Amino acid sequence: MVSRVRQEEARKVWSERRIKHLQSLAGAMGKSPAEAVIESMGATSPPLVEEPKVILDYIVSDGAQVTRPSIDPYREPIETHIHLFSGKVRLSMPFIAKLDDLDEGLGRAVLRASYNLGTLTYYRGGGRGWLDGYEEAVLIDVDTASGMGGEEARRYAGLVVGHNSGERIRFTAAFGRMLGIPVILRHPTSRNLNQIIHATLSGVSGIMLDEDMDEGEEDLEVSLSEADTLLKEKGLRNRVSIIASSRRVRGADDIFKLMGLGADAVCFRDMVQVAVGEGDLETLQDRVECLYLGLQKEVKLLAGAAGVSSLYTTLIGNRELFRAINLDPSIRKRLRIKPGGVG
Amino acid sequence: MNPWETPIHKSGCGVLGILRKSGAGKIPSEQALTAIECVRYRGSRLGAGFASIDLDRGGSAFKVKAFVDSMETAELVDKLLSERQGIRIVERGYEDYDPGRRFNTWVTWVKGEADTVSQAVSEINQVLWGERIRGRIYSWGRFVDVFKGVGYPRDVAESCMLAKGGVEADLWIAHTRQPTNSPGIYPVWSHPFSSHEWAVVHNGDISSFGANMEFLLMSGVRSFVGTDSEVIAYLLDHLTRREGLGIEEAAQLLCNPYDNLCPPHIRRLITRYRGAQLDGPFTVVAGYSDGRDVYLLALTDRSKFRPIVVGEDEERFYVASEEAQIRALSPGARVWTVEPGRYFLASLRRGLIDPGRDSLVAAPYLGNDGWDGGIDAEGMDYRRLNDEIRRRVEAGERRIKVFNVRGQRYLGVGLPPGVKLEIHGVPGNCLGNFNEGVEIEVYGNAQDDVGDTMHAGRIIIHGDARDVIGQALQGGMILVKGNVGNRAAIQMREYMDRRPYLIVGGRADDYFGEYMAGGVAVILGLGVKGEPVGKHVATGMVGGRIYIRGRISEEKVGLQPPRQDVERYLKGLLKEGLITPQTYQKIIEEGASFKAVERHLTGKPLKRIWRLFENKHTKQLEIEYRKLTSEDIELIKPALTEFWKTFNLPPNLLQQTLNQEYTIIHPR
Repeated sequence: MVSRVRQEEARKVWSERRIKHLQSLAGAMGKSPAEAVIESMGATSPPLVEEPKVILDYIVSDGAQVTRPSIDPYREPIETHIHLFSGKVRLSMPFIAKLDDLDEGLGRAVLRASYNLGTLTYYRGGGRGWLDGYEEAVLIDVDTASGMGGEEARRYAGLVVGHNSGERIRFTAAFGRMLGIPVILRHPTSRNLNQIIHATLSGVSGIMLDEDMDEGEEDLEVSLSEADTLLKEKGLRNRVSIIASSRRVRGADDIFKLMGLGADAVCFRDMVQVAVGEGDLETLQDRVECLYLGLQKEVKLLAGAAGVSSLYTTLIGNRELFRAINLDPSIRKRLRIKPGGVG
Repeated sequence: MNPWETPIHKSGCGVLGILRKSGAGKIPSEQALTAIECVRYRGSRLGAGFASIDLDRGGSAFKVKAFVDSMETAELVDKLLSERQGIRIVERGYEDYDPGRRFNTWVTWVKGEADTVSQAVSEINQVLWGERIRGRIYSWGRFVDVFKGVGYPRDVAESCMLAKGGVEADLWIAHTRQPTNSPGIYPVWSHPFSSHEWAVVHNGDISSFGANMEFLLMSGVRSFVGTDSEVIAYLLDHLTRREGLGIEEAAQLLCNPYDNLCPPHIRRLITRYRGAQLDGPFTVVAGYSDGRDVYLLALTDRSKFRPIVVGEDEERFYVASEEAQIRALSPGARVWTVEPGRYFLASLRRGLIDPGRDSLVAAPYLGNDGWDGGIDAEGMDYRRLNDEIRRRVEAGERRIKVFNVRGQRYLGVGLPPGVKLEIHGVPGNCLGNFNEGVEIEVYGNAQDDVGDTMHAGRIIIHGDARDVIGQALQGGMILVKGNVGNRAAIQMREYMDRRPYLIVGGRADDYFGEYMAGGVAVILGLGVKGEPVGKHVATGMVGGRIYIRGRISEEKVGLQPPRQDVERYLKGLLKEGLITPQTYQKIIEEGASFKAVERHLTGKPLKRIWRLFENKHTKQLEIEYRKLTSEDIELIKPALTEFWKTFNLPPNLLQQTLNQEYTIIHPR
């Protein structure tokens, strides 16, 4: 059965097909940058042909049919925007890129592209000078924000605080509330998710479940779904946004499914690196923009096929749109997804 | 059963709502039956139902109605009710009892607080809804009463004593069901669904069902029969009773307006109550009482994937799937349709609260001249009427008049060229489909899907037409004196010398000319205030021409990216130093439309931002606003002349109309 994807295993999820596909979206290869690749009927995708590598691979979308028609995203609107942090931030598409240890050229390219296309980045690195002018598109880690005054902090989309100290979380939440900036708790994919409840009650606006943190014990899918469920059981779900974060997010399908499991937005990293290749700032920025626009079209196609016209209101946490095939029942139950073939 | 894993059952159906106006008499149940039986073919024998709301009924006790499979289950329901602190049973017994039925209705009158009863009902339903279905509490209001079962509406009405000399009420809603994904063999899946003082019927299949159910689970609802219609009743009750929202706020939340059209306070509510929005196809008709007033509410989805019409006369308001249902009760009612994504609301005391559209336009009722030797279609089934017309054509008649038409479908289909069919009344859906040369003239309004895949001939509508008129129209002419609904002229096409025309005298709703590939579609907007067309005009258009009298906002044409996204990209270009603040300002002032972007940008910045507007499969269209040229006049004048002649309009008005300015849309 699927085991948790450790960072060292993360590269195994990158099949040749995936890489080529992302590169065509970005325009690093092929002739149709920013265009969703349309394939013929039938698919080689997992779990039935290609070997499933992660839990997401066992999940399929239960498409629209006659009484619930699909929507053609090239002629009719499908809204990909989402509102994060009780409406304080609007993302035009549910993407957040991790800038962490990207080299500076690529980092700048991703930052600019994210700003231009109305999405966000998450930064937890050394200096922050190079973010100048683009802070509005950055969730900044409090570790990086040290010494930052209120005026500077207000320029950012949000402050990200680690999970280790409850006191620090409460302090940052209070600081954020005072300045009117969203505070996001970055939390590993642990078994015990009680801390996200405490943090929500102490006023954080978002939870970033980050699979790349060392303390993680669960697969992102499971942890995300359980966080969503737990918050719902406590009646707190609409008070916080959940960001699902992992380096192994591979494309629009992963993003779409993670949203179905409860993510308001999805944070990724390697996908961008794999897609854009090398080049100067202008080339890289252009490729990131093409990648994002291509992914947006793919997300729209997936939503349209499920009869969903708004990601924000209809997709997030809507497990009914999905079915699991050959997935270990104990995992399936934790995800609250029905097995394939059930009405 | 684990509520998180409830199997779902979906439906597509016929709906009805009637509300009396203040001062008018109460509505007898037979009338609800007449109007829902009028669209019997929309349903099946797998489920029908009625709900009434009556202010005079409201005592202090709740009428808890449950389907039970045995006396033992009935006892269990009462035991669980009476065990609950704050609930007192005042009366109990079977409403009617038929040992041949799997489920009979058990009624328990109880006193207590609404929230206490609500909680008890939810918990009892969880107990009854196990591996074996033992029963279900399906209504528990003081003013609401629900009657439902398995069968056609008439069967259910007869078994519930609603048919002859039945019950009177301030409001009725009714439903005939066409289950698509569910057994439908037990009455628990029949509509209406009810929660407290709300009762709901629904035609649709919502993609938001899972999100809605999660929202309700979060709000403490624990038992579902698994139809999407049930969650709609729960959502309305939860939002108004538990969250204290107004009916109109709740209606807007459920309708889920597009972000760019969403008022800020509704956007805030959507964030707060995310999961309560509906998506996918729906027409919902709901009745509600707060104990002081009675409300009739109707909702339609953004794309308007299901039919809905609304009517009004001196005495009542009506909502229906088809106009014929309204005409069956009120031949002269004023009838209109709701705009996509909007809601209709009226109340007993306040009258019309929201008509469901900005400009309330409805063609006048033309009456029915009475029988004069033609066919009297009164009470005739659509198959019989079509057979009679065909019989006359085979006997050599070439001019056939039909009177008292009320919703009969497929009229004019399959007749030979040269026949003229004159219709008085309201023809049903699919009028004149596949027409190859028949002339059809309707003295009244037409319903959905007129002239689908028509190749030749003429269809003349003296009133309004509803949705999808002229779909795949590929020859001949359709003239509508009044308005048309959603998705008119979609997929029109032409081949060699066969060029179809659709001329609309009034206005059109959304998606006019979607996927249009040929032919000419004209909207004259005569007597219309404001722009005579809705959103997404000509989206996906690849051929043909659209003429709309007057200026149409550019953002209404085709598919445009959200304005916020365009503004943000422009800011990005500004930051990169690729455009000047002046250019930025100008584009914003001109609405950040694709035309504004094209006017002010060139080279690299244009190429980059253009990716938001166009791609391999989406192209922007040419939008011209100007006077007609001689080519334009050559193209449309013959059809307009026909229009003028047919509807007997003043000739000088034609010349005036041709001299005015038009928005002309065609592919680049």
